[in-house]
Amino acid sequence: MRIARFYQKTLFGVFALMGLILVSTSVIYVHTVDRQLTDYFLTSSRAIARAIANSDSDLIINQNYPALQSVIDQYVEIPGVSYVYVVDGQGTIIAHTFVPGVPDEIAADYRSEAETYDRTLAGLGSFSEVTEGIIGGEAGRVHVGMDKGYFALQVQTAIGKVVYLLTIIFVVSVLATYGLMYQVSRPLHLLGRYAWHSLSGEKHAPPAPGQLEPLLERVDEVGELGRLIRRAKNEGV
Amino acid sequence: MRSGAPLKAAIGSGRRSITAGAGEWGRATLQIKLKLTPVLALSLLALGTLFGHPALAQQDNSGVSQKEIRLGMSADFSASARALSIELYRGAMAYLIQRNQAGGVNGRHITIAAYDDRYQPDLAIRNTLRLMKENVFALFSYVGTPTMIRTLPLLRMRQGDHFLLFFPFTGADASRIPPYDAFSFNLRASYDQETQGLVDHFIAARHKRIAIFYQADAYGRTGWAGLRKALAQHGLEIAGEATYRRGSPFDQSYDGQVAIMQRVAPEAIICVGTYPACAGFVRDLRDRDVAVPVATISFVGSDAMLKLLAQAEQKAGKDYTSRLVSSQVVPSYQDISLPVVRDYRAAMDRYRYDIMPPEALLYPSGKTPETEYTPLPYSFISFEGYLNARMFVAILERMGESPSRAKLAPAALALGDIDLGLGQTFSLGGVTGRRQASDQVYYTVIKGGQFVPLADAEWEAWLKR
Repeated sequence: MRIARFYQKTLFGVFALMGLILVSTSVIYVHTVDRQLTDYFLTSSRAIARAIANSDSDLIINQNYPALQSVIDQYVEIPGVSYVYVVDGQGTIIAHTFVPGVPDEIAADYRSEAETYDRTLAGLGSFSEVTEGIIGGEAGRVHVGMDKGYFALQVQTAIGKVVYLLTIIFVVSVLATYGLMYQVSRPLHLLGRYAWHSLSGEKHAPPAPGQLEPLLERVDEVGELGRLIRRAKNEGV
Repeated sequence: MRSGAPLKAAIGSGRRSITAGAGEWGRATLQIKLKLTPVLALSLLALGTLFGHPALAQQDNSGVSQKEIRLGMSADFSASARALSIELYRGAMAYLIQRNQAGGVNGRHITIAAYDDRYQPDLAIRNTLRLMKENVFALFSYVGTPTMIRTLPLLRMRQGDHFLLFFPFTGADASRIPPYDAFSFNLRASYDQETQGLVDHFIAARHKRIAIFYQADAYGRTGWAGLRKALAQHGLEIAGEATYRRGSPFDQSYDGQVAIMQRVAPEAIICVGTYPACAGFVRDLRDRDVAVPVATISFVGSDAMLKLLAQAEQKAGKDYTSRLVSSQVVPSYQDISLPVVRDYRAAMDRYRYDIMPPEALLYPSGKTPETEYTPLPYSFISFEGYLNARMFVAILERMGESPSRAKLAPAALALGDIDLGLGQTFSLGGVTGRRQASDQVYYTVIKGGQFVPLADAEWEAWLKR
């Protein structure tokens, strides 16, 4: 299925434009979704840390550690929340969800009053950890670790779906454009063969009568051009 | 079917109580009243008063009928802590069947409606709501800290209905301190008392670096907090800690936890877990030639743990049991000098086949050779269940012929000192309003494949072995 040469550049231009739209849309979407989902996860983890810090301060002050443990155990059931630990005012981890123990990286660095940590825990992965002070930090801090791998997967899944859809649209558009271009260029190609056969005196195979007659009957520019070639042929130009 | 069969049929069936029937009768009466003429309706109401009232009198909203007092139990009958729940249930039923055959309490049989919570707090809450709806007389012998901790707020919410939790199988503080102490009565000593005793004995024998292996949940945290508090009294801190996830099986590798312990190099380890995990941990510890003494607290279920370790010993040809000490909250069931131990053993022997929980509870996914539970002839857990039932019946006896939930707490608090034949008195109420009957902690070690008491004076010599 050939397309007239002068349309091939147009076709290429259309494809290039579509590709540009696809890539730029994907890039903007990836960036937006990545930022929004990351913000969402960090906001969620901060909300969890705040909820524990604000609502369970009595448990911490009264040293009701089992009840505190019971509370934080419920939060790690939320997808994406990998661990929670609570540090008291003296800097002791008084409740946590780690198995088989508190990772060395955390044991070495959890006492600062930083609001976020970027952690890579050996054998566990990468985590964004947010913290919230209990009674303004006087009674300790709640730490909530979100699995970066989990939200990277969520972002990739969301992006993947959109890119998949855009790719399908692109492929369908390319095929549709190609088909339309073919519909436009095919009569010109037949008329070209008819002109070469009728007017050049060289040996060129004419289009089949079944292909030519419909063209000559058309009322548009193609029909006019065909009839003009026939007239030139008949007049011996 | 044997003598306890009718009782078993009632257990766990979830059937509606007579109170529910009375409620339906009330609704039906109302519908009739709306449809029929007022005179006819009034006549029917009068008849209802005459004939319906005896039915109502059979059971008010206190969970008691003329023939039955139903207790409600939620415990893990099919997952990682099932041996504890099954044995506790068996021990309680051994006493209750015997008592029921002797006429019950004031003519009423005591039964247990039991539901499986798989050691999961959410299921325990659901079961408790169901038991409340079924209008049981009291909640009885719940198993586990995380399940109990989540259930207690429910009792507080429904305090107008006077539901109380009697003798849960946990030593957690939650049921011993405000605000929930008002909704429960405990028979056993607390975990704090158990860990305090273990720590005191280890330190007296100059084992000061004490680490903890515990379940990563509220139960484990209770033990951790108790150990921390006990060590603080000696100016010490926890030497190291390793955790495991609730429900971890025996077959799992505990090498990660053992590696932590090897790094910490403690002089003693206290385990606050369930029997499969603790047994697996001890096995892996010994496989790595870590010979440090290991202590377990009562909830571990030392008999079930011993059973697993003994099987593993036979397979591996190694010694997994000689450096183990277990704290217990009841005396040894081997001590037949105690009258209550003789009674317990006789009841367990006599009703061996009648005291198993219904199979629907034990095998929700079907009974297979792998899941089939082989009951223990005697155990610390079933002995505790037996004492729980005996103590509860002692309270019931003091309530006279018209027991009700509202009168239950005052009756328990009026019990005072009671000797069940243990060689020690249990005490509830009194001047301080005690809600924990016993403070006694016992220690046992394994000799010749069974637990034997370890006297205070023997600790040092045992640790030097």
